[in-house]
Amino acid sequence: MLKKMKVSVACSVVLGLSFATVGIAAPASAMTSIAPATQVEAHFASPASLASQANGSSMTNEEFDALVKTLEALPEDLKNADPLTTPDYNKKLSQALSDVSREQKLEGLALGVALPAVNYLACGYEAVLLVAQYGIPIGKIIGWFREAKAIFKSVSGIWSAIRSGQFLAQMGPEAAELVKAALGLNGIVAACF
Amino acid sequence: MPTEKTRFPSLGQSISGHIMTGAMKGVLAFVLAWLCTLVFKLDATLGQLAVALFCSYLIAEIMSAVIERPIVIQQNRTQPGGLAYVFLPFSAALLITFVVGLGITKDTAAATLLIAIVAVLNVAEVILTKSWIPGPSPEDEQRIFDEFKTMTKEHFSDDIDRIKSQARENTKKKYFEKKERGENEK
Repeated sequence: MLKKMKVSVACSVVLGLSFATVGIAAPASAMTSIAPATQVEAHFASPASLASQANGSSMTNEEFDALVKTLEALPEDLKNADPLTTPDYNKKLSQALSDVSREQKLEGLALGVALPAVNYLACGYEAVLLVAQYGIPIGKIIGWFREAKAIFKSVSGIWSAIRSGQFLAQMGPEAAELVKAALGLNGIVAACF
Repeated sequence: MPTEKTRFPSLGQSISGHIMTGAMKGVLAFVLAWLCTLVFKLDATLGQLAVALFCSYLIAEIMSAVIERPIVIQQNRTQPGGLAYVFLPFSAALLITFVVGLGITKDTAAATLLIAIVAVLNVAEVILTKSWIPGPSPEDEQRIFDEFKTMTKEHFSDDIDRIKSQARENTKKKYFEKKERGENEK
């Protein structure tokens, strides 16, 4: 009898717990993985972000736009800098992301806006570093994100293309891996979700 | 812009795609299972839950791709939509999770909990991707990918040489590091 009760209670709260994961797991994992995340506090969760993270597949369009906005808010000189030739590039990027985080958080609080739970800063930092090691300016990556989303109409469109196998058929395994990584799978998972 | 011949994913590519996305869901499912163990006393260890989830997701994702295949081929769309396309793989995943979960943990409560977790994640995925709605036609899909490939090529055209040489350097570095480690171990 007691076991039956446990099962029914477990089933009824699993939905709630799945959403709670977002608030607990994302900042904790991000803090252990990268520097700027330690300076970013957990945000309030919006239903859209919760749903997307319960899914775990990809960001919602709103979250994607917020990520792009965060990257766009970086100083122009850093966005266009060559990561390979700029001295202390990673350090400067880390500092700039932390500054943007603070500003956005203050703006959100001032407006009383409920910010989503995704740690965009950590997420963006991971996504950017992935390609920055190959010396591509962030400005270019922002542009590529935008154009890719415009072509596929949504982030979930890219997820569906990967899931159906069409991405592998069209792009080959390496490109699929890269886009999978940029969408929040692999190393970015810890920071984004 | 010249359009390439329409490419259709093979069953192997479809299974790989399912496993890629399933891996992500599996990680989240494990986090949820771990959180549940903090709240509920189960007669199963966390290790058993992890193994059960890994096996469930692996089998369920392969089975989903196989179950979806006839519908995909019949409709000639990678995302054909419809109730059968959504519910058949969904039901199979739940059944597989229960059987595997019960087999590994030998605990009905744990197996039921795993079903609930898998159901929540799969429902969220269905809602977010709106998989009941048919996706683009093969021609439209091919056009989208042609456009995407052209855009990517043009966008990074200046960096391609640099990326290639950097990738070569990274590979070389990894090779020598590995070689050095091997020699040190000897």
